[in-house]
Amino acid sequence: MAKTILIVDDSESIRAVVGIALRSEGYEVIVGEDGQHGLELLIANEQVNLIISDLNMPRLDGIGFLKEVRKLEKFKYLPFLILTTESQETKKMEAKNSGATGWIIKPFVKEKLIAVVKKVMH
Amino acid sequence: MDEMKETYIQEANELLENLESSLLSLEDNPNDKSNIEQVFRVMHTLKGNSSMFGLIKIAEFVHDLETIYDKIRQGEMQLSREILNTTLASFDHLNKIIIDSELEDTDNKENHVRLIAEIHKFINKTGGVNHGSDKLREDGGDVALQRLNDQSITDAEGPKTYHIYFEPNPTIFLNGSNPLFLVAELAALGKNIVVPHFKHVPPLENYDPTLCSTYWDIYLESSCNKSDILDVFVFVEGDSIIEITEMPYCR
Repeated sequence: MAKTILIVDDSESIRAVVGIALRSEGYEVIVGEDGQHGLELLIANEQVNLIISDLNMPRLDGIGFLKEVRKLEKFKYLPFLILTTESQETKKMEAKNSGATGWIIKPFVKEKLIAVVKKVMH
Repeated sequence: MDEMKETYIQEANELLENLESSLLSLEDNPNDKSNIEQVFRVMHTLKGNSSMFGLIKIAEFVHDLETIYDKIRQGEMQLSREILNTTLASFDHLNKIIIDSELEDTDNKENHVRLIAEIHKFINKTGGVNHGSDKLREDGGDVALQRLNDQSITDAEGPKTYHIYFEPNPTIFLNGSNPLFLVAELAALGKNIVVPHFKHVPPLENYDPTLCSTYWDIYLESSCNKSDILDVFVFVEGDSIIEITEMPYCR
């Protein structure tokens, strides 16, 4: 059964690029437009195997979303990658300390995205 | 990809519309924090999208502009009339270069250079330009994966034998990490002997399955270099014990 990945980003372009790359590798993809929407989708689709989320988003940002996800017993250990243009160590560490598994730095090529996804989800 | 580019342009136009409306509100009320945040976020998204589509000139331009608003929202700078004027001029410029991303039009090229100089003046007043795309290219994760793609197991020196000691932080599961994936990824780099140790596993009455008590010795024969091995641990190296020792190679 195909693994399901939840992509959460307020940019339609990024959702499209990431979605196409992941679908071409056989993953099921669902997309959320911000942290709040992502959280609602996660609760409604309990089969999610990985979350890839942007950091800067309206309503609920990536760190807030991550913290909410970690509060849910079922998703406490779910792999969670942050998708960011932030190259500062502090931002990555803030995400890591809030429970992120790892990060993908924009811009990236498809191969790079898939390599990171396979690293955290077998 | 043309369809994707259309999505980019369409979204860029929407973002610029949002930017315009926030900038106009800022003209009336320059201290409105929510509008400053909105301007920053719109610029941030436009920068990210542009870099994803390889439109580096736009991405770099927006990054510099975004830096000003990052400083303002962090209280390191005040929004002045001059900054607002430059931002509005930058907004007009962005509207043009979204469809001329390589600055083929001479006017666009001249405006680009002039506006970047203006933006840099504002940033330099408070301490230097943190150039986004350079930072992105230099980023550790990026470089790590690039190394993985480019040079991992093709080193001309031939195989080496490594001993790798990997003791994850007991709380590694709380980040959604699975140390077995890392051990498997490492083992895939070459011939290997993986020795798990269970000495730290407490008696059943004290056992907490949410904590990782296992650690590993891994012997790896591979043509990869030490940094390729470290790349495997890129997300956990800060809080796990990882020791990599090159051993004399014997057949």
